[in-house]
Amino acid sequence: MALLNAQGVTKRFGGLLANDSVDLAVEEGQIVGLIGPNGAGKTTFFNCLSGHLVPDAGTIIFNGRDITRWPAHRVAQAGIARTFQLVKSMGGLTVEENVMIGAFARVDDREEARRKARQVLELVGLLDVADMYPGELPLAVQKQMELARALATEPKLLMLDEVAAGLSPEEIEGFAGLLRKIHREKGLAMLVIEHVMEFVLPLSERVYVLAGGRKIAEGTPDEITNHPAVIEAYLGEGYARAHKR
Amino acid sequence: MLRVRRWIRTIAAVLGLIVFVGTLPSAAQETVKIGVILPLSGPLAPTGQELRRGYELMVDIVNNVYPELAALGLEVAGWNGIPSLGGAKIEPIFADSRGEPAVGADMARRLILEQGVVGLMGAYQSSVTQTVATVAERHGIPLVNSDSSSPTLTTLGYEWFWRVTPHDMIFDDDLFNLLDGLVEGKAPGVPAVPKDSIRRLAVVVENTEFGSATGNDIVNRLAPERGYEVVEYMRYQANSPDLTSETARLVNSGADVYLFASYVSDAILFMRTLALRGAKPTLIWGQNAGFTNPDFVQALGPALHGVLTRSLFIAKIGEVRPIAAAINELYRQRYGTNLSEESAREMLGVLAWAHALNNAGSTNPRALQRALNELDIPGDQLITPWQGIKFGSRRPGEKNQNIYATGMIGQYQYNPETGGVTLEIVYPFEAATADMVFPFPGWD
Amino acid sequence: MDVVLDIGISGVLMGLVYALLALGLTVIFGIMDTVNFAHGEFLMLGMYAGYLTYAYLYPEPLAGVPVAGLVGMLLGVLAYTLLVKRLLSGPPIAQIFGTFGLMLFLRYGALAVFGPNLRSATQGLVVAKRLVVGGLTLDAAKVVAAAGSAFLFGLVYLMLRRTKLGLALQATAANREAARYMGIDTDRMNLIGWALGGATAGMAGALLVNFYYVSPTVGMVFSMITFTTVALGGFGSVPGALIAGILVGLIEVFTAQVISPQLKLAVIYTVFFLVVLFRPRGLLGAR
Ligand SMILES: Nc1ncnc2c1ncn2[C@@H]1O[C@H](COP(=O)(O)OP(=O)(O)O)[C@@H](O)[C@H]1O
Ligand SMILES: [Mg+2]
Repeated sequence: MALLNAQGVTKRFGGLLANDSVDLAVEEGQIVGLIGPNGAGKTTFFNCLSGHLVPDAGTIIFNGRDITRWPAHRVAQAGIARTFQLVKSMGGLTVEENVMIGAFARVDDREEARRKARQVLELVGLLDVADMYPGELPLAVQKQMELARALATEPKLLMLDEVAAGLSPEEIEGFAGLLRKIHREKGLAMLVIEHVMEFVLPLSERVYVLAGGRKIAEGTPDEITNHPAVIEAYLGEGYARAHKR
Repeated sequence: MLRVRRWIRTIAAVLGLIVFVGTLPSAAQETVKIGVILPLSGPLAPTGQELRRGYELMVDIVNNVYPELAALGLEVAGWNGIPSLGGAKIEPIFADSRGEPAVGADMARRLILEQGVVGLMGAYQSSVTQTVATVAERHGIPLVNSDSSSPTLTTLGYEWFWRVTPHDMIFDDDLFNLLDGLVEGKAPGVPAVPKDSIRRLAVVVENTEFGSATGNDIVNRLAPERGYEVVEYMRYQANSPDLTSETARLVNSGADVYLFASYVSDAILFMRTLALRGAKPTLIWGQNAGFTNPDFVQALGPALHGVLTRSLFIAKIGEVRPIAAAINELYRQRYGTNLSEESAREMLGVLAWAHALNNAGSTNPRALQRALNELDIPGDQLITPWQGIKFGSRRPGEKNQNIYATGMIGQYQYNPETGGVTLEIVYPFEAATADMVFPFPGWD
Repeated sequence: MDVVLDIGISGVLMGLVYALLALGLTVIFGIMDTVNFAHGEFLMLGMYAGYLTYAYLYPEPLAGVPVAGLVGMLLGVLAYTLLVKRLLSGPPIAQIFGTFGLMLFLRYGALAVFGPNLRSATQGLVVAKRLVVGGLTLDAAKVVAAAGSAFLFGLVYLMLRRTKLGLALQATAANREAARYMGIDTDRMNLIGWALGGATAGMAGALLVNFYYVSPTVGMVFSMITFTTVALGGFGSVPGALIAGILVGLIEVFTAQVISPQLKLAVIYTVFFLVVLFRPRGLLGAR
């Protein structure tokens, strides 16, 4: 049975159907990509999964439990963590404290939370900026901090919303390496929304494509890059030609 | 259609009833209607009720025979209504100003035109009294005031306005009469004191109209006139969260005498802070307001020993005026509390009206105007230690002010035996109920 | 020189009390961006809780402090669950009118229940007592109120910096949405913020009973100063509230001493206005 199984997730904003009966599954330890043009409904789907929005229809089963109407903090405690398209750091708290907040989802003791936070910071390579404030750091580092904070909650599923957006190619490269390392060490499942194809396709075992709120394709990265509907809706001829194997 | 006709019939019946009821009192015709405009609702409603009680009790004394009071020499207590008007009863008609000048004027108009009152009283706040007075003036209906203290009211040349009670400048005069009296050795139980021990004044007033009226009168008129030196004139922020700095300033001014115009909240804070600082002026006086408030007394208790306050009426006067004691007793029986400054004010107003009506022998406005102008009630008819009620002028430009009206100055005195604090009268000197505590003993 | 020290100390003492008042307001604002206009009325009811405990249960105003803390906390919890929570889904203006309405309700409710009279404590360990320290005479009641304020302030500050709950509150204040995804129940944090705000206002009220009168409108006397303190220190900033409180206390006494007593509030508001104009986030406000 899949770790995450979303069925028929539908979300309406007034007259706009942002998610139209979307089905998606993530297996334990699997990395799944979620792609689609701007406004396709990817972030909305994340918001439904993470409890920020309540879907109008559909069910979300996570780890054997129906979490469809759970509030965000319970979803987090159940083991889904996420990062944001636009970084949401906690100003006034240091990097270490930010990550400790994540750790507190699992432990009550302050020192234990600090130890966990430092472990995660070490993993993502941010130990030397632990005492700085997020506002003083470059975007790439803030995104790493968000990742660390999400990891500190010890999730079973990590959802990343456009982590590569706004980063330079080298930084993207670094981030991809970091995610692989985390996947290797922790073996946790990931659901990755991404715009930058070079980043997400090589990373994913399976890819879902959204357009206009609907799932228009799913498959392996290879299948997706060759899928006519996908090419038309999103990738464009140029990309398909360049990546033809 | 049917329903409309039924409605019309109902409305006609109600209207008929109203007209009928409206004609009832005039059909009886044996009453003299006096309209009373008071703040009966709004923030001053409790005060309005106090004023109303005083009015009602005195009307009752005039309208009915009270043998015990008559035996003490109170003329109106022997009356059964106004004698020269065939025993016509005074009928009070109350109207609510809500404390607003425009509403007060409107009420005055209605009382005159719709109720046909022969005279008016009220309206407590000087601003309201002033608009009521202009209406009275226009309609030629007498307005006898006993509850407003703005000095200007009797300087506007009104022909139909008379004031029974003292105004603020008279109250300020009283204070300096007390100070001069101390120097002259007239204060009860206090040998003549050197003027230098009370010459330097600190005037502390809240930064409102009330405060600056008192402050300016003392600083600009009385202190120079009577030869006192104002070493500190402090206008402070009313309702302050803290008065430490103000108090330090006051103490450091080196003044002999502290004079306050404060409402109760600031009055409490000032006294507490002064006490903690161990301030020791020779005299502390308050301009009524906060200084006569029961909450002030409750908050400070024995710490008030020696503090002075001006008041129009202090219940202790009964000790030297039997009539006042008897009326106070009557008031207590009826309302459960002592006569207050407010209720005493309205009693004096009704008393003036009763005599004026009797002297006029008519309810004709001109006759009443003449009777009021010539009114001369002897002091033994009053609950205050005045020489009487007689309207005239005590300063240039003044008109129709009771020339005998004065205030009283009371002193809080702590009695260690009873553990209680009483307000004793120390001024006017001849009405004193106790020896004055002087100098102020301090707070140690 | 003596005067400066004398006045300065009393300014700091009152300033600490203002800081405690500002604390609850700034915590609530920090957590949920809501200005509690009824904060002064929380203080007022804390004062009544303290005074009534003193008058009817135990003749020592200090005994009323824990009672007032509980009453204040309860008030905060009720205000949040019955009123503010329902307003959160509406526009921000609804919250402004909501707590403004609460202010009027509490003030005039107290007027109806307790009457317009001013009540004062007249006995107690520190009521009307002097404390002489190195030649300076201080008001013992104010010293105790200031010490109590400093203590409570320290307690809340430590709680915020050192405990899981404190960090959760701060995280909610810093970024509500992110906090939620870290497993923090932000609705509960709101509630705790209101409980904390009510409790500190209540205890400040009971401390004031030692030297201040109690009346249904007493909240008015303190709320303008409290709002000014919060804005001056920076909305949501706890250390800012402390510094601004002391600053306001000092401005108050020195204006009264050096310039004129009638201008003291005017000067406080001017400083506040200038800060808003040139540093809208306040002295220590975030962002
Ligand atoms: N809270 C919201 N209210 C109204 N419309 C929204 C809201 N969130 C997203 N949308 C709309 O839903 C559509 C999908 O948005 P989003 O999920 O952010 O797309 P993506 O992340 O794929 O770019 C867009 O048209 C967007 O404007
Ligand atoms: Mg998006």
